[in-house]
Amino acid sequence: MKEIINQIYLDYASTTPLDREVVSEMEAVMNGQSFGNPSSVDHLFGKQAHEAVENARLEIASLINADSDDIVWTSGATEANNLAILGLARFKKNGFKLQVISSFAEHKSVIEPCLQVKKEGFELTLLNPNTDGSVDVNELESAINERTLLVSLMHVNNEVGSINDIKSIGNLCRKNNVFFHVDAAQGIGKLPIDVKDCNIDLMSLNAHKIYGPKGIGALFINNESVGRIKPILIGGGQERSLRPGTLATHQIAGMARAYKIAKEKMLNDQRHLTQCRELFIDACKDISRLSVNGNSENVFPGILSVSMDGLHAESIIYGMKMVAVSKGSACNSDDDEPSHVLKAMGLSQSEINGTVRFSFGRDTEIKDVEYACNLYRDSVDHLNRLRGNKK
Amino acid sequence: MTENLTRFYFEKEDHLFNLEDDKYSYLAKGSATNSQGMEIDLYFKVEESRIIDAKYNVSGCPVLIAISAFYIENVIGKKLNHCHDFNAIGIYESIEIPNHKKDRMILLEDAVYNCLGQIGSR
Repeated sequence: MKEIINQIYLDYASTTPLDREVVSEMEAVMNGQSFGNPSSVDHLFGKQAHEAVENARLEIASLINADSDDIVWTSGATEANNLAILGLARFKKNGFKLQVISSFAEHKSVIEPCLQVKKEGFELTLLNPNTDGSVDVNELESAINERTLLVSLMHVNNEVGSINDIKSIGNLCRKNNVFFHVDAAQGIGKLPIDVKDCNIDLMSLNAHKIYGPKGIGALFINNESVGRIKPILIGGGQERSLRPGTLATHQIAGMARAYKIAKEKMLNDQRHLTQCRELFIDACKDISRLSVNGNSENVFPGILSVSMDGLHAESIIYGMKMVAVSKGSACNSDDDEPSHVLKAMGLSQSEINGTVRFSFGRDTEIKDVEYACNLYRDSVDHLNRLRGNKK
Repeated sequence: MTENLTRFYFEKEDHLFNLEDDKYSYLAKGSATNSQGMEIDLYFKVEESRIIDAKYNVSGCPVLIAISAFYIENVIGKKLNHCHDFNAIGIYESIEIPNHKKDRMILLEDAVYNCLGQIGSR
């Protein structure tokens, strides 16, 4: 346990620690008189919980320039992605438009619902990302046709940090009368995003990647452009029957506080993360066979994906025992399957095997980045010696 | 392999094969690779049917690295006809290999058999 406590945490893309203010907010809700069911508005306890939920809804909406009525609570971004893709496709199924477009660089919580709608009769087009992990807008334009119902793409890639040109994609979709869903799990609260300016119809949100609680998220549904979608859960009237289930008031309040803090600290966070990323790259640039994945001009600085051709990431990570990092997506890090994202970006099997994702956060100290660089170098040197210093 | 033992052998560099120093010293080499790009090279020096020295190179996951180092350390001094007996070497007694990494043992075994094949063919 001591070893865990002393580890330097550089896995912020996987999840973040709770901000102290978030904890206080959640404690206040749990310890106070907001424990009532937010749907039980016939008494004071319920009314108080309801008020907390609606205030939180306003806070979430304000970060993305949405109307609060357009925010539907979910258990996280995975559920929001499922609800957006399955819900829209199933509601519109009887129409003429039966094509869904996404990309191979998406998180599995987008790709698998897309595969599901394919089974339900839709045509699915998965675009290959550029070598930097982002989607080419011209390629997307070529894939859109009169049958296209939905384009679902992420804002920030969770494995390499590449940023999609959401505004251009949103304009393209609106021009072609196509719904646009954004998986904003990695970008929300870290990069500004305006759903009106970017013509976004649906957007998946979470809290735990910006110092909020796990188990809570939301789906932005543009009521004006989308109208209705079909729920994927049934059995209650909450959230206008779009997502039934008793709302978790304390988690919702925690998410709202995390969003408020993110809004205030976004610019400072970006500067700090850029400093961490540049320091790491600079300190490691002389390591032979090392390559940085993604395009430095178009990347979220909090994520740094590096490949060491010929070595195995699991051993690199094991060798740097005092640093907590991931092989790639946290959802895949306990299996031996190669990353579908890196594969789609054109990396060789050997480069994929040797890919480690460092992700920095608000609490990352510069000295921790320097220390992690040294440990990374030591680990790579050790593994190179084990393999006989082969080129 | 317990966590401590895995780390101990993962970190060891005592019997690494070094091309410059060892290229004329070791008679037999056996290699094995798998589809995940992991690879082992084993080198045995044999006199009177006994392994008097052994070295290795390895690239792969921590379990593969640890069992390779453990094997090499423990095979030195063994008779040739014992060196494929992993129970005698002690790996199975000392090591708890997670189920999804059991195939690493097969990789090691393949390298050992390939090395023994080299010796047999001489």
